[in-house]
Formats: sequence, structure tokens, C-alpha cells
Amino acid sequence: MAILMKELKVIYRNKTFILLKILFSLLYCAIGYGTKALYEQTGYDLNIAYYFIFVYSMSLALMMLYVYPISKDITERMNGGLENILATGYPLKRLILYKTLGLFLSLYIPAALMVIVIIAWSRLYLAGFLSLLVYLPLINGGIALNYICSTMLSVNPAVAMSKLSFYAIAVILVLTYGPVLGYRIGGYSIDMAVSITLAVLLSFAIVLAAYRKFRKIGIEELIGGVVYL
Amino acid sequence: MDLLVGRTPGINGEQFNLRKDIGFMLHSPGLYPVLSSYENLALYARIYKIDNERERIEHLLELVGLAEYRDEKVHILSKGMRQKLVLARAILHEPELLILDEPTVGLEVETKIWFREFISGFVMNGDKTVLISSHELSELEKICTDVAILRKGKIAGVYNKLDLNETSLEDLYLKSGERD
Repeated sequence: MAILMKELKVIYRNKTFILLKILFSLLYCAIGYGTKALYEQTGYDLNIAYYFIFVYSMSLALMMLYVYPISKDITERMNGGLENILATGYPLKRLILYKTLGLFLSLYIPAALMVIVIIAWSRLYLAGFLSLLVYLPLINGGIALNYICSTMLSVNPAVAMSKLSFYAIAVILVLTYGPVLGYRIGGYSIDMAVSITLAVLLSFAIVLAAYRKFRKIGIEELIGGVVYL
Repeated sequence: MDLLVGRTPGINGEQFNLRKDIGFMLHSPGLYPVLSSYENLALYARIYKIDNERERIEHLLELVGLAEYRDEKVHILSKGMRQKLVLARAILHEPELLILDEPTVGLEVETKIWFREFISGFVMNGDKTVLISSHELSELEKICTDVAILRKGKIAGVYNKLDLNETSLEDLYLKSGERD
């Protein structure tokens, strides 16, 4: 718990992060409300709401990684925080999980706000709560764990971050602009069931990848990285 | 070391975990610049599960001369002050053995003297052991009772206070190199 409190203090004392988080939260709420106009323009098609609840929320969560302070305070590789905490005998896996929880909360809240706004106008309670309680926690938790493990395992956290960012861009493009471009260019739209299934499968893939990294991570690998640095 | 920290069982299979008796000051300070001096110590007090956390931290801040910087964020502290804070963190759980890695590198003369006196007091008052790893031979000479010279990862010589009275540590270090 001490580690989680420390993580939250470090994160929320970063003024840039707070400013960006407020801006993103407002933006996400605006997008959530903006979907209502889209819904009305497209002939009251509730698929729009489903699409934003399941697909767009995931893309935005990934996008949040860009504004996450990738500082030495979070990865703790450069300032020696990691070595010092581990030297006390504190378990590595517990340390990772608390750090993940800190990051998870930061990623989850803006995306959840957007979903809440969509639920408010669309009244899609089942889909909304499914997204809030299962789907979003799963995907954000997976992303957070993947991020923490990648930055810890990598001798160069910035490289690990840019790799994650690359995949994030790919997913965002495919899931958000893909269907729009498909409709405009080819005149066809992806079935919503296919989109949601794809999103759910992707979220499980992210969780699985994160879990594999989490299982693999050990003090020996970390020490190797620290010595290399 | 694995035996000491409980990662390897002893000959009879017993598990030792002496980490709670070891304080350390690593080369990287591991302080959080956006947290205050108190909060930096409080994090470790919670990890070590120290009961009287508040009293202990305030006592230590007083001891290392940082009481007035209790609520100041670490990024405003000077290098010497940060090192003092790291030292306070190292003895937070009242360890029997204190391991210091390059504790006085880059510090100003007054702070080096303060460190020397503090460490001597820590050893004398509490019957404790301090293990210092350093390249600052002149500093080690003034404080250490026993010295081991490491070269290429191997012990190249072991000396005590009597040896150091006869010749300087620098000379002993150079001689150990000649033997290679």
C-alpha cells in the first residue's frame, strides 16, 4: 500500500500530467457527448454508441500513455528507486502490481468518464457497465502491466515506450479510423459485432502479453539491465 | 550474500533473512524529488513496518540536521542534504550492519567531516558495524579500522589500523597493484 500511495503522489504532483489529464478528461467527455450528435446524424443508429463504448474507449486508453509522465520517477531505473526498494527485501512482483495499479487508475478514469457520458445519453446500461466493470479494467490493467514490465525489463525504457507507442498508434488507427475510412472509400461498414469481438480479443491479447512479461520478470533480469545502464 | 538475504538456505536448510538488520546507502540515492523529506522516509518506514513511524522519522531528521526541511520537497535540497537524508533512511530501522557505497563522493568538506563524525558515533554508540565501499582513500583512512583492497573483483590485501598508522592507504593500494 505504501508503494501505491507513493506512486499516486508522484503521479499527481506532476503538474504537466495533471493539466493534460484534466484536458483529456474534458476532451473525452466532449467526445462522449459528441457521439450523441453523431447518433442523431446517422439516423439514430445505436451501433455508434456501442462502437464508442467498446472500441473508442480502448483507443483512448492507449492514447493516454502518450501523456503519461515517462519520467525516472515512474520507471525508477535511473534514480535508483528500484534498487533501493528491492534491497529492503520488498517483493518485486508486489512492487510491479502496485506500480501497475497506480498507472491503471490514471489510464482508466478519463476513458471511464467518456463511457459514463455515453451511458447517460444512450441509456445502454448493460453495455456501459460491462465496459466500465469488465472490459475497460481488463484492457487498461493489461496496458498498465505491459508498460511497467516493458520499461522495467528494457535497458532503455524510452525504446520500450516507443515500441508500445507504435503498437498503440497501429491499434488506434485500425480501430478508430479503419471503419470510417472503410465506409468512405469502399462504402461498406464493419459489423458492430465484429468490431466488439475484435476489441475484446485484442484486450485479451494485451492481458495475455502483459501476464507473460509479468511471469518472466525477475530480479536477475532487472539487475542485468541496471548494470548495463 | 544470498545466504544473508534469505535467498539461499543454510547448510542445515535453515532460512536466514538478515535484511531487517542491514541498512544500506547505495550509489544511486533513490529519493523521490517531488516528495518531501518526511514522505521519502515515511515510504521506507512503511516498508520496514516501523511502529512509531512519526517519532522515529522526526528524531532522525533532527539527528541529521534536516528537521527544518521536513516538509520541503527533495528537489530543493543540496547534494549534501540529500546524502544526509539517504543516511537517515539507511538507519531508519536501526540496523546492526550499515553498508555504504561511496557515501562522500562529491560532497563539500564540511559535509564529509560531518559524515565521518556521524558514522563514528553510530559505530561507537550502538556497537554497530559499518562497511564502506569507496574510492576516496583519504576518507577511508580517517575512519576505517579494517580495510580490504579489491582489484579486478578479488581481495588484493587486507589491512588493519596498525598497518594504516605505518603507511598510507594510497601506498598500500599502489603496492597491491604492483603484485599483480
